[in-house]
Amino acid sequence: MLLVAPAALYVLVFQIVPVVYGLILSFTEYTPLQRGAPTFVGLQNYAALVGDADFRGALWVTARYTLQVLPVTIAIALVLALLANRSFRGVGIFRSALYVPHIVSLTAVSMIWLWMYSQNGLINDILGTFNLSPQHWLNEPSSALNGVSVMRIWKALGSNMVLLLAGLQTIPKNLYEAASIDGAGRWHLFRHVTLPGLRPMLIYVIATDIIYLSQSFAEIFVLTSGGPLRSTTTVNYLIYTEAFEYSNMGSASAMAFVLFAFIAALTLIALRGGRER
Amino acid sequence: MDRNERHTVYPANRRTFLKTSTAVLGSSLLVSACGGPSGGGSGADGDLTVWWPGVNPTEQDFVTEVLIPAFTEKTGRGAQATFIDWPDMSTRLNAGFSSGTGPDVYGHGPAAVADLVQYGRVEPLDDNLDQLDESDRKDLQTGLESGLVDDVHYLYPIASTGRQVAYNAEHFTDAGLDPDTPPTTFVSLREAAEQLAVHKSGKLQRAGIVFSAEAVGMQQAFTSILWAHGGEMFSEDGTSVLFTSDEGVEALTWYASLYQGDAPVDDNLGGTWDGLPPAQSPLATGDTSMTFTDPATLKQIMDAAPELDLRFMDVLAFDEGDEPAAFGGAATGLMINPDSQMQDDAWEFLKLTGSKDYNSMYAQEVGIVPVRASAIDTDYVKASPAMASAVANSEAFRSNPNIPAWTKIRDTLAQYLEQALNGQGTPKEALDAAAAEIEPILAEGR
Repeated sequence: MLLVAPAALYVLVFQIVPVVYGLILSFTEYTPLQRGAPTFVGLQNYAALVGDADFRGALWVTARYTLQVLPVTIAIALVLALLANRSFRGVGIFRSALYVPHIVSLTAVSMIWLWMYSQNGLINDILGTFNLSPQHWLNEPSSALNGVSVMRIWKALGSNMVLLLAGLQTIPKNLYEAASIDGAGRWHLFRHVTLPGLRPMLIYVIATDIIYLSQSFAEIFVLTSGGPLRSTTTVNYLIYTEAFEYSNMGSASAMAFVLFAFIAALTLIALRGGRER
Repeated sequence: MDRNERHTVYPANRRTFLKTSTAVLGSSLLVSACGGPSGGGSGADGDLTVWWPGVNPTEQDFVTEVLIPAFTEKTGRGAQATFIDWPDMSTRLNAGFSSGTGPDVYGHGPAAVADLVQYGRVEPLDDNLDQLDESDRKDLQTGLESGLVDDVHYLYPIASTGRQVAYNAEHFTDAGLDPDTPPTTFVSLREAAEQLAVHKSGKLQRAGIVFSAEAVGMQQAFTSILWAHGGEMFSEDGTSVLFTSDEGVEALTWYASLYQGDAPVDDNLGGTWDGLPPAQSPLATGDTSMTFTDPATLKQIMDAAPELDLRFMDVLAFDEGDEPAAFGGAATGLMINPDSQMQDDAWEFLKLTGSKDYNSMYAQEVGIVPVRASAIDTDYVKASPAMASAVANSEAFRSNPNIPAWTKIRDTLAQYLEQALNGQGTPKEALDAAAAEIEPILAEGR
């Protein structure tokens, strides 16, 4: 008990206490500017969320963002991992180059993409060379979330690829040899050896991606500030606004716990789906 | 050893651990939930603590190397400045006040004042201001009004701002317009924008005018047009919405006409260039002939594109017979924490920062609009057309209403303005819907 005490104390003070405090706050009305204790309001903050169209909209945007980034990222990262798993000249550089976006801060990357998406940015310049008119990538409600998604896919590829590559390298080579001797072609090797062998890592990558993507904030803050017409307002962005612009810590905490439940549900679905297969 | 036995091996230790954990958890939650009566401030003998909004290195140098030494020389007391990025200012103040570690003096924009007043986190300045010369007060008048809540002053202005239309004189000449007699009303501005806009294949190749289309920018633009038409946002006591008036509907109709209808002149709906360097603003790149902006931004654009003949129009009226008016007033001000034990020194710090000499120096170093009307005679203002125009127009600038929950009200209004600008419903429908949502917030704040 004594040996685990420091770690237990750390977990208690820095993880459990803030979470429990957040949960308590979600049942109160509280602004840090006020003098005195938060006012207990019971389930009022949660009840208000049920009828809050902005919150429902943000949940939908969060779900859409997560579900449109996730499969594309996983698919491309898997292809890249399969390529990087081969031995060819320069494979080290190939792997490193793909991992670089993961090292750079999301805020810095978002700034660079903001410039690329701007009226006179790189992407419109490329369109211009093909005599295509410039687009307002982040200014149109129909395209803004897709624009952010493309950036996020690019950003997430490196880490996903490295994890999947590690997963690929744990699959015993003799399984491939045995399957080949039995006449399995490339597709069958991938379908019946690679994918089953990769499943634990794939489930881990999907679960962590769901958790990260559902909490997206920095790229939204930098690229679109939740607009236009709230088409990119995620729940986390809404929580930031509620807590730090309007100083409503109680309702912001309630939103945070609903988001937690939402993420847990998505993750459980992914885990269960992975297990059933 | 079966499973049940394992559970009974160290029951005492487990209970002790659980009890200790519960006690630590409970006591820390209790302490944090109770909050503290004090919002911080230094003790009576230490240095004055100042939380300064902005992390511009030049600004930091000015405060630490010029302002604080001058303060120390005057009062014999030291001062410690912490520079905080603007977007983090409210968060840091919230944390400081709730934990009892707030500063003696802090800076913020006028938008925060009413909420700070509501929770007793800002000291009234009227007794101190009464000791200033009448001429001194008059010199600061527009900025001082930005910090008024229920006729009491709380904010001491140190930088000004305003919204005006900047334009490219060469584009005016090319379009057959006289750059020396630019539009004086929003109605004539729309006509000029149509002449200046360049279309290609049915699309705008060069906008006639662009407005920054993020939430704050949209609210400031609408409010400027509304005021320029003689309308008001709220009743004087801040309890009811007035922006649904005929003037409000006409103002929003004009604003939406920039994007909708047969001849749109602004293709920047949904866009902002806040995160982009000044050289990439549409006025600098030639993607627009006019833009609705502030003097500090125009100065940066002019510095980034010195080859362009860029100018500022005077503040506009809506139509002939209306009085010119626009959003403006104090951009930044300093406030005193009522929990500070150095009230007199805190006031001295405010007074020094806003004094003629130091405020001019500060404005020049940082490239912002000085807060005093008399600054029009300084070399810095005379040498900068953007600053000179802003100072000369200072009487036409008005601050946003100082009412509690202003940021929420502002964002709610902006949400409906954006819908109208996108053609989702009529301007009247948008304003009525905004009013329906804002009225309860107003009622709650009072």
